[in-house]
Amino acid sequence: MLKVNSKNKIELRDASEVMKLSRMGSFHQSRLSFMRILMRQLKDEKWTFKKVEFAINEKGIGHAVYSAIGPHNTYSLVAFAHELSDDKRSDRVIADAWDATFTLFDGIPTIQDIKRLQKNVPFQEVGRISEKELCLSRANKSVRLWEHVISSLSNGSQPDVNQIDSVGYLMRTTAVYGSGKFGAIDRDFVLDRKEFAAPFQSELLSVFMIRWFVLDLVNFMAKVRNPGKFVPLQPDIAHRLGIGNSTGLGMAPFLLNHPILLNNWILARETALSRVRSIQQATDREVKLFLELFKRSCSLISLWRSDHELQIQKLKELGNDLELLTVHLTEFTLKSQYPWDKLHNWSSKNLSIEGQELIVSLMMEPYGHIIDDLSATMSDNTQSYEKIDGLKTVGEIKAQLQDVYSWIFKIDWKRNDTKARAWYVSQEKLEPRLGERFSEPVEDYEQPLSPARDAYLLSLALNKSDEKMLMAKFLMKYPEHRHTIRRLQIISDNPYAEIQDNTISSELLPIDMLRCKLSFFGAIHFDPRSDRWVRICMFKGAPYPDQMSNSVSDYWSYLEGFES
Amino acid sequence: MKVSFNELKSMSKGAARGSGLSWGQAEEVSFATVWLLKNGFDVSNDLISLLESDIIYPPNNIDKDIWENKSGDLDPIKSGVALLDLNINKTIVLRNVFLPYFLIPFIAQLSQSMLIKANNFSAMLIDGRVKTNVKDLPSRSEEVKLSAISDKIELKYSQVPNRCKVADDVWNRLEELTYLTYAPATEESRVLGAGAGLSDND
Repeated sequence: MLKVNSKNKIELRDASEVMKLSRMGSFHQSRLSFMRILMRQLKDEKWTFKKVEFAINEKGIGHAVYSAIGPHNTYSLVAFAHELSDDKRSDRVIADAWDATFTLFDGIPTIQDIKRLQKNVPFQEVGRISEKELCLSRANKSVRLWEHVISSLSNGSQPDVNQIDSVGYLMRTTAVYGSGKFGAIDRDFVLDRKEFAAPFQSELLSVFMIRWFVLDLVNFMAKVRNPGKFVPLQPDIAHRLGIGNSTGLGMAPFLLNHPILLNNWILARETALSRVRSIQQATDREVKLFLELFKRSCSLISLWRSDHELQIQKLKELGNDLELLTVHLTEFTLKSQYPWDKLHNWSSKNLSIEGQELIVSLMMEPYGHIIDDLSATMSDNTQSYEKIDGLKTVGEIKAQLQDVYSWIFKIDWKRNDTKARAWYVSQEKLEPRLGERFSEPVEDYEQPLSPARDAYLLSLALNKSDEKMLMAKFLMKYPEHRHTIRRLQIISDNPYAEIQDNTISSELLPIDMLRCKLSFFGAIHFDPRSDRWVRICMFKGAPYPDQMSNSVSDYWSYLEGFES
Repeated sequence: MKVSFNELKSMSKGAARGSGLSWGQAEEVSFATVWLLKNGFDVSNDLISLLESDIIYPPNNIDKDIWENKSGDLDPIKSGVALLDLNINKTIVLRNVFLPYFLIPFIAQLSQSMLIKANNFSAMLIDGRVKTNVKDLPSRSEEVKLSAISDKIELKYSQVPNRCKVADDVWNRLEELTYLTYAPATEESRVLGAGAGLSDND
């Protein structure tokens, strides 16, 4: 029986500690990550998967259809494979051609549906999908690994495992769009489907099935090259392959544009941590599982490669943390009272932030029975309109601002470096970008993605106004603060809704925002390519759809069987 | 063309911002547009007129029971937003309102059920639902009287369509307005782009 002493319940970590980008940019996947939630759901509900069609020719051009059949609904990945010259292959959003393009269809597509999709999906943003589709995505090959795998298999041998591990994927997605984008069905209309209760489930179901298609495609193309000598990729090697993802600035403002969603993600994770830290006594089984996963994490982290100096430094610190932890875990007994709280407190004093957050994710692992229910709280299904309380006075809003945004008053807003950057959308890319305010002509086009500076500007306007003035009147006089007043209301009700850092500072690292979001997806192997672009790996170590069964481990993301 | 509500939401917000409104006001325009289309009012064409009009104004004095502006017609977004900000639950008269049904989404959010009685249409707003007495709503009302409904009335729920139809030329104009919020690319911005200068082909 679970021993949680309600009198000694550990409080949630304060937002001022959690919501710093240095910490958010050090988050690791956990059992509340959306890929983990998806895999549990597919397993628990006994989803089955079927390859419906594989109409790819010897040049690798054509389409394929794979279906996921759940207790209530069926979804199909419709994949289109293309011929792409090397000079056209780009992960950037300005690309207009890809090695493969995909959509997730609601049901099983007819021939007419396939014909319609064929005219649209390969063109991605330029095409249109319909209410019958949930997602639109595309992927490019990892040229170095793709060729190595094809040449090995077509020569009758298996590819080199070290090369497989050093890249981690045969294809990487460069965008996975959902939620009504480019004509897809709005999320509101599929909210009542249990399989989409947690965030990003349709997008991740797409990626899970893309990984299957890519495996089939690489085997097929290797066989085409030399049918006589071809051997298929061994399952244990295929298991080591995930799907890569290349993500740039387009994703960074997501956390700012969806404050309630961000709050719900972090609140779920912090609640889980609090529940685990409040456990008075760990069982032998829980301790054993934790230690086993810690050991596997050490192997997993040893496979984590990055060429970027920031991540190299973080990995070095994480390596030191693992050494310290290894020693600490032999001396420290997890059989003591409140072991997880003690371990958490020790890690806060002795480890880097990377290491601290790794421990947070790891200590949740043995406790699915007390934290998995939180996955149902991570969406923002209300999507309700936030009406402004215009009956509040200037004086009341000033007090509220001081309370909720106290940290912004510690920033010296007169300095240029505190507002050196400006978020804008470029005509060329139609995507958010980060410009230099004082050297580029972008300020006039600034997006509302600097809540700290905007709250400061609001405070100046409030200081000039009569304390008794109603907000309804204040906002008629200062309509430029309407967005920030609405945000203040949202942040006041949702403690983890705001990143408590300056998002236009010269020191901002957008990759921290990307990493936070991607860790909630369940991504591993964060490999920044610059301070604003990161590559990651998804579903590495997961079973393939046709291998789903009751025996699939809940701990697949710790790469079982990877120890070399 | 048929678009998703999410597309309509972001496009109307962008277009409103491109037309010169603040981001907060643009959010209100977007909310009102989506609300009206979800409730069966095809307002996309009028949205362009609303965003492009430069002779509409907020009410001069919201302390009074009659809202007007001597300079010209009332802006339905700025008026509707002020009604909602004040959580109006009493009788208010608005004089000379441009595209008056853009008031409806805001009045529908009031905690009190309301009746709109204009010189050329009427509408009941109860629990966020709406019932009007005319199919085609007027482009202008000389007088719009707003009063609280105390009777217990229940309005029928009507199924929300999962797409909305927007004429191609309207969508193109919304895109043009949104485009005004985008910064022209410069050589420097290309160099500083997220993936610039790095090879993807690996």
